[in-house]
Amino acid sequence: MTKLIVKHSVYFVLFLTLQVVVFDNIFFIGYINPYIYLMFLISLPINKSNKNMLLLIAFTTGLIMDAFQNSMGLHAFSCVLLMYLKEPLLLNLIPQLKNKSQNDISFSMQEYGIPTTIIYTSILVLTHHFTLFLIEAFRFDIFNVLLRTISSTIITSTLLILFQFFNSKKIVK
Amino acid sequence: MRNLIELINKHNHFILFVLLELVAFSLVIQNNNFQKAAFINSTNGITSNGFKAISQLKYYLSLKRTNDLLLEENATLKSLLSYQNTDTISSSKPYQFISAKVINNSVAKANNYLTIDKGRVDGVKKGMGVVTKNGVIGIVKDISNQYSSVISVLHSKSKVSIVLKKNNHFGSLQWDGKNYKKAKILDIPSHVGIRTGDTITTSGFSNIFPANIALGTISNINTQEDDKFHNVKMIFLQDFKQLKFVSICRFLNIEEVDSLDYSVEND
Repeated sequence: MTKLIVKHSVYFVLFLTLQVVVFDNIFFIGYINPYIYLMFLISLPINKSNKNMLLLIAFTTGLIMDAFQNSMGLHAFSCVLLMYLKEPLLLNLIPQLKNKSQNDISFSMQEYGIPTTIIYTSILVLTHHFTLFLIEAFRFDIFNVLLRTISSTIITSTLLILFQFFNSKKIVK
Repeated sequence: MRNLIELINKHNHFILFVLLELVAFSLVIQNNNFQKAAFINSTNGITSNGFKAISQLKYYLSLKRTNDLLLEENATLKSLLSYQNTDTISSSKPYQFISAKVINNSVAKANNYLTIDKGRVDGVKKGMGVVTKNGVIGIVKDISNQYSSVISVLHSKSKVSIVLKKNNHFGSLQWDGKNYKKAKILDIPSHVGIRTGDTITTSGFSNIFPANIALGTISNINTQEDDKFHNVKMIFLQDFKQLKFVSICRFLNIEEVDSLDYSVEND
């Protein structure tokens, strides 16, 4: 348990710092800004007994991002939605998890395979990005929102899947 | 009552979810009110200090280019100075400029903001204009003691009053939310003759920005025959991605003009 807390605290600091220092300054093709801090939220284990804690963590993470991006509430909204959808999505993708009695379910690439990881990560990123760009735009056309969502989702998901890939290899060694 | 408590207990996860989403959404709405102060933004202590550290690193890495820029600007200032010495009729310019460094900037979002390193102690006030020699940057939104956040021209609600340099017809400029290099020009009647390459400058009507700052050039004209107004796009002279130094302009006679406007409105 303590090991888990330490690991995810490190992730929290690592990914938020990386996001603010490095990735907020990167724009692919002029406007695609990868949100790699989502890795922290996606990697959090699902805790059946204390699901509300996860929502609060997601909300706080979102607020911190908002403070840095001057986009009050945008990231908080998208992050809470992502966190709320995480458990149903995981249970749908891997039905045998329902029978597991252990408290913390962590998602890992080597346990569930590469295709599941890709679907799992990109669906979560897609939800987050779509809500983010939709609320941000508000008065702009839907085509622009979709274009941004899809292009950003591809970039962010690729980065997150690559990270999970290298991370799972390290454990195998 | 007991049923209600049971219901809340049973669905507490969902209720918390809805509650948090409502809080987040109300924050979005509140922040969307133009010029309204938000309590968590990039001017408060932790985030602005973080930005300062990052910007110092970036500043160090681009020292060479900054140096070139400064040399260039120095040269233009010198030429201006010599020009002014020969001019006997000095035009009165009631603006004072406070120079500031940009410590955070964005161009990729639908609503962009900047953070600059001058604040209340330097005399910055809400609603002041921010410019560079290449154009208008934005309007100060929030101030803390040492930092201010600025609503960029690249914001869905920013509008700048402009004139065509060659014939002084006025209109307004608004960003279309897509490309940070281009903006739309509105409200120029279609009988006015325009051509691509025409220069657009600030009008100075608003008392926020000084007049005659060149903003950009007309890049394409797409006016149909029965349109009442021109359908025109322009390219910014200022590269918003490369912003380092800006000037905050303080209109010195603001009280006088405001009270005049007020008395006219109340006649």
